[in-house]
Amino acid sequence: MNSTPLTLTLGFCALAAVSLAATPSSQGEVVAIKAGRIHTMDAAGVIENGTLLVRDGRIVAVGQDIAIPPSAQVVDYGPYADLIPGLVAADSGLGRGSASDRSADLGLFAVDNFDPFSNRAELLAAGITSAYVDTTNSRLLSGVGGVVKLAGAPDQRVLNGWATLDGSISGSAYNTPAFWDPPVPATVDVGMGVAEPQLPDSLPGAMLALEMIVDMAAGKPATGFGPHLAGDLKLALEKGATWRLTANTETELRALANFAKERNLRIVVDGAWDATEVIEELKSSRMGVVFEPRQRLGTVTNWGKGDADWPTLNVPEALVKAGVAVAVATGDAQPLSSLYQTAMLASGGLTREQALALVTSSAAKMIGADDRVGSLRAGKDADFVVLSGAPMTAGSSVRATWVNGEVAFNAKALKSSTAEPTAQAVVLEVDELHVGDGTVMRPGQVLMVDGLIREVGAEVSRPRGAMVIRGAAAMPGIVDSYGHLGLNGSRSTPSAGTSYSRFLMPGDETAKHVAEAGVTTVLLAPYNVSGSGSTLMAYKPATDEYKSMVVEDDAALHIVWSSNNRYGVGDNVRSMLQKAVEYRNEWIEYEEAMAKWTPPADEPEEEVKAEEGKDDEAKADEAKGDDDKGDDDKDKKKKKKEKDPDPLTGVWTATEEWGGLRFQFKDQASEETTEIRGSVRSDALSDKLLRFEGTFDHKEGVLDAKGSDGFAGLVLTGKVDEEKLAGTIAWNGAEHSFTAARESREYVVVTRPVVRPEESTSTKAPKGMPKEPRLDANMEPWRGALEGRTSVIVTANRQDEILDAVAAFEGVGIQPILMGANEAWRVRDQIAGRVKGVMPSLSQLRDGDGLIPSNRFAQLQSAGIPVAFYSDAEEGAGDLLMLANFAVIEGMSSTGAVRALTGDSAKMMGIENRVGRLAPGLDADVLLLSAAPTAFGVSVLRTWIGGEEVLR
Amino acid sequence: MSFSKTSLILTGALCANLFTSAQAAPGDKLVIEAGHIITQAGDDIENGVIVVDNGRIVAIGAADDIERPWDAVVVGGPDYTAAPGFIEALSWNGMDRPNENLDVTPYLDVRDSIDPVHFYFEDCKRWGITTINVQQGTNTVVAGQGRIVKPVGMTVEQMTVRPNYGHMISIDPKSGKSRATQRQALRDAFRDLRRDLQDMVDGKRDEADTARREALAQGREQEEAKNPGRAMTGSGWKVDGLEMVDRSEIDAKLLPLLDMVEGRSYTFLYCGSPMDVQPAIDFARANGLAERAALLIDDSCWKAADAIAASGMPVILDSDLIHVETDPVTEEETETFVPKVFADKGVRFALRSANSSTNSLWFQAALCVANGMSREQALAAVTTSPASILGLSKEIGSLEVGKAANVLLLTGDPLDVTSKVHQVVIDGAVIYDHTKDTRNRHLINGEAPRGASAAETEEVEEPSKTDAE
Repeated sequence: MNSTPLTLTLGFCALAAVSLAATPSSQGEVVAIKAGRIHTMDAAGVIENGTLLVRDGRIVAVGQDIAIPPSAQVVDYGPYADLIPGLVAADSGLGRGSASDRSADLGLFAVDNFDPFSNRAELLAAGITSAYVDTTNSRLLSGVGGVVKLAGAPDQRVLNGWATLDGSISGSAYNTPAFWDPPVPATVDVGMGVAEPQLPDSLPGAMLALEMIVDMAAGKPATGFGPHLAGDLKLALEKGATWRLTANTETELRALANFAKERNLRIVVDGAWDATEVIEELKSSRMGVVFEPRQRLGTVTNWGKGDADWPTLNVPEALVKAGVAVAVATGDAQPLSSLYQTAMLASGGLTREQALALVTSSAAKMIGADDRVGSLRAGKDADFVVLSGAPMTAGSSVRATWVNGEVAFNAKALKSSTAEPTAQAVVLEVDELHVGDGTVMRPGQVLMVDGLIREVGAEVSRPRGAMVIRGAAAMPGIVDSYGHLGLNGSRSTPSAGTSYSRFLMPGDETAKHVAEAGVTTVLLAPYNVSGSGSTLMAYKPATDEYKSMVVEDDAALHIVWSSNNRYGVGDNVRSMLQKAVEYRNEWIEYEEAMAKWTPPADEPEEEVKAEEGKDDEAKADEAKGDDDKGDDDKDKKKKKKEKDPDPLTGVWTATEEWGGLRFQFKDQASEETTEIRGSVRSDALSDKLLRFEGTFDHKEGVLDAKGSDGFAGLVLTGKVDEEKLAGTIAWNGAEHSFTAARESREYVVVTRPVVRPEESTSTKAPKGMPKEPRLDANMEPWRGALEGRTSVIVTANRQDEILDAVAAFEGVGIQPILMGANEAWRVRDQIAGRVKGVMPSLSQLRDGDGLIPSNRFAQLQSAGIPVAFYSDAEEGAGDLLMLANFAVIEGMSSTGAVRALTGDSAKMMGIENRVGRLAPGLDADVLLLSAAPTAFGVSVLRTWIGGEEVLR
Repeated sequence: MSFSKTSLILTGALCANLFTSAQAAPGDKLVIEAGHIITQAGDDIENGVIVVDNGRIVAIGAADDIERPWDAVVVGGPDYTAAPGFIEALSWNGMDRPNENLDVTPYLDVRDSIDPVHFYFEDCKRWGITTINVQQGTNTVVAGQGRIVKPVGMTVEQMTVRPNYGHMISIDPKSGKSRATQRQALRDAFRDLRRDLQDMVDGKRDEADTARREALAQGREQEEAKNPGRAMTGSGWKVDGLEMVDRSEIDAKLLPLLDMVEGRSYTFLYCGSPMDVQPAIDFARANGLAERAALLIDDSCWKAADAIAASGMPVILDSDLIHVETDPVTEEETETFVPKVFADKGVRFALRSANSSTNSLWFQAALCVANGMSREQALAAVTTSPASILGLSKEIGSLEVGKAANVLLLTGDPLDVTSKVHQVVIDGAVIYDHTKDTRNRHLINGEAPRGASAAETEEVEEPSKTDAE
């Protein structure tokens, strides 16, 4: 093709794309496919960072700097994907059926046996897009071979119904039964007839029969081949048909080569096990060879004791070097789906491109379909395969297969009850893999499957369909051991029993931004610490799924020891610990008593039931109505009638048939009409948080609100009655009614959350059963700390404070984590082994008042005390990686800095079995870095949380 | 060859005679009253009357408008719904066995295989099927001649509505064949026909030439050549000069195939897979069968519905109406309701009942309504559509003046699950009455059929047995 028509085509396509932009349709629409390398198998060779333009199922252009029409759909497989032409099976059994009764018959068409409606997913998954089909291999001339495609519209799947005259001179064709066609009906006059034996029974017979039928086509009469063959063959030879004959042994190949030379016929031989022995003959007869290895992949065979019986695999190499056209196919010995593997095994001694040609461009040429398939060039069919790595290398596998410009197979869509779930499998290949526990692998690889890390090592396995990503360095996601991301500035002081998990809202953009800076886990702490301690929740802010956000609800407790007032410093903590021990002892006593207590066996069950029944009756009476009741219920009534001064503020939720709603109202206690504001989140209405302003009539309980700036059109009306808000909401043309219930009385998301409701067990205890101690939500985290389930962070700065605090906690068996700890370095030898770790204030990265500052982080770490970085900020957590960089500049070891960001931080917080390291079984929270983690100017390129890449 | 044209004609004449004698005697009149008449020809009639004379409908309309002959027998009543008898568009039931093992057998006739007392025909009455297109099975290449029958009569001739009616041709491979060999056999059948006809014409030409040369040599006047046969017609291929051949000289094995090519004979092309559909259409067009062909299709063939719609050929559906398929990649299961696909594409289609558990065409029709098709489409698919596909629109399929009086009296709406056939009228004769259905009464009421003494004694004996225990 010269350049003028190409340019014209391009110009036309751009115009068409523009004109169709308003009404996109598959007809005429341009798709641009980008990949790291495009193996064109054509003059263009391998194109780095290439683009392939496809329109109407054909390739429009392929190259490196191709202008993509603005309306084109772009599919980017990323820099680590390799594009190769769809594989071409130069032989297949897809058209196989019962053989003809004749030994030579051109009335059979292999494409008749090919089902164009069938779903060939198993072959498409193996990258095969086109195939040669024949009818059978058990006849001298078994029929007419064809070329088909394995996907696309059924009426376009047959590329060529009349491709070759297909047959075999090999042993498989020597069993043709004698031909007998008894007349119907057989009578005295018309006998039953006799069966006529048919050629061939041997190689000479086969060659004789071939000579006979070729002569027959030339007009020489012959019998025994039926009434139609001569005419059919004459037509075929006039058309210049190619022969496709099976021949395997040296003798067969030689006989066929001579036949081809003498008769000047175009013959492609398939099988060709011993082709290396007859290279000269093959060359001089100009036959093509489709090599079909005899060996079965993955099996072992006794071939026979003689030398000649041993099959070889080096046929393609020898033929390519001798200049004989060669392709590789699977033959009958193995499934067609192993075409790629077969070609790889048989490609010894060839370059990758030469090996790939065996199943793409050469194969297409061999079956006469190279005008449509086999290479990637403008004008050809857009059939290609996306590989996870370089072609013809171990471990690269098919990610997607396209046929006629459409996705015919996508590994991500694969669901199977038998295959391994590898839909989201990702392999990271990096020069430097920081595991998080101080070790570094150079190079290293990580396999992530199903949200977890499956393998870590110098080389990991490659599940099929896995995405392989190469890069400079990788490390675990950073664990911010003390941050406020998600609090949105709320400065409330929650008590120790507060759980944050109920206020989580996935999909926060800021959280994703922070994750892109490397922080995947945050120990969420309130800004202000309560006297009885505050709990920290370990969570993954950037996860899109609510259920996978929480790593651990009560990961740590934080309490402050330090005080400016030197008198009585730490007393509150000591008394807290005392209370905690007492509280825990109550439970220990209870547990011991329970262990000793034997339930009374003789107690009749009926009695219990009767009592329960009474209870029920009493409850029923209560429910009947307040009016019937006496003085006992007065208090209750009073409570009910007492008007709520602020009946609206807080969180309200509703679950309606059309979707869920979550309101937040900001109001104040009043008797009059007040101005209110708030927001509503509802996936059914909008993917955004909708804000509104309005009024609330406290007398009537009537709410009337309209959308704030930017949310014009939102109308919210409702009425509050007995803790229920019934009303309607209109947005974007849709109007819905709802009934919402109040979840909370608080407005700000994470301010002073509601104390967890205490679970009261109302079942009647049997007589003598030990009484369960009162469950104190505020003391529960402390019980966890005493039992080693919850880490304790203690803010203590001066050395006396530190020593006192460590001693006090030691007294109750707790190894605390010191936070702040400005003078910890002074007593590092005294506290080593007695604390779980230290979270030094950031000023200690460059501490000391002299001219030469010291890095206390490094000092503590070298004394054997784990340290952890923390942000004490919200989105500021994104600076942690830079902070570690600075720490290294100030003399910390780079592995130490990574540990302090990840593994040590997670271990201190007791979440090391989920995050903080790259180890099999842990969450796949992984960062791909532009350079080593502590190299200057390093940046996070990509972030995975739970195996899912964070994408904004 | 022992086949001769004469014997075929004789058989035809015989059968025609018997056919007439099986009709109700002239002057037999019947009045069918119904609270609701589904005519399938225009609007339904409330409280209507159908007057039948000599096996045909002579009047139909509202009760007040129709004069009833004084000497007519009256059946039905206001509680019943009248509907046209259902038509089984194709069946290989009622024969001793459905298939022949030879490939190409157009010279065979299902007449020889139909068993008039086959239980199937008795069941047809119960299910309101009044016309059945009996064809050979699909395990064939070109099958024998079919026949359209009604489920009443003691001989095949009495049952016959249309003799020598069409052939089954299978595109789907018969056992032992692949699609390639099946299609080869089919191609060769017609290729051989063409070659044989051409040979005969060539022979005649040679004869004529010889005769002319002889006449010339003897110096006598050449007689005006008179063509004994007629030229080949049809929309497919033609052999020129066939008028020179007397048709009676043509082998009886070939004549049915020639009838097909000339477009005189119906063909039913069986497609067992969507991949058979386009070849079937191409084959029918190439050989001139398309105008009188219907596709008998497997439920999976809905995938080729576009090709069918483009061909304009009608289809006879498989009795499985829902096609289920699982995507091998996503493992998602998709269900396709096949009749709706064809209804939406405007393809004429008929439903078939034949499956192992029921012969109920109305069940199939009700299934269509349940799957979102209109009542009209569903009822047409078991009455007017099969009638038109079989070329019998003027005879059967709807209740109109002049048409055969094949009427069902049902206890309710035909698509209602609780309705049953009360009486069946075929050609003006009441041939089934639910209240006199011995087998049904035995099944439902436990009444022993007369003469079934074994059952009676068993019933008597039973109590004594229990006593003894």
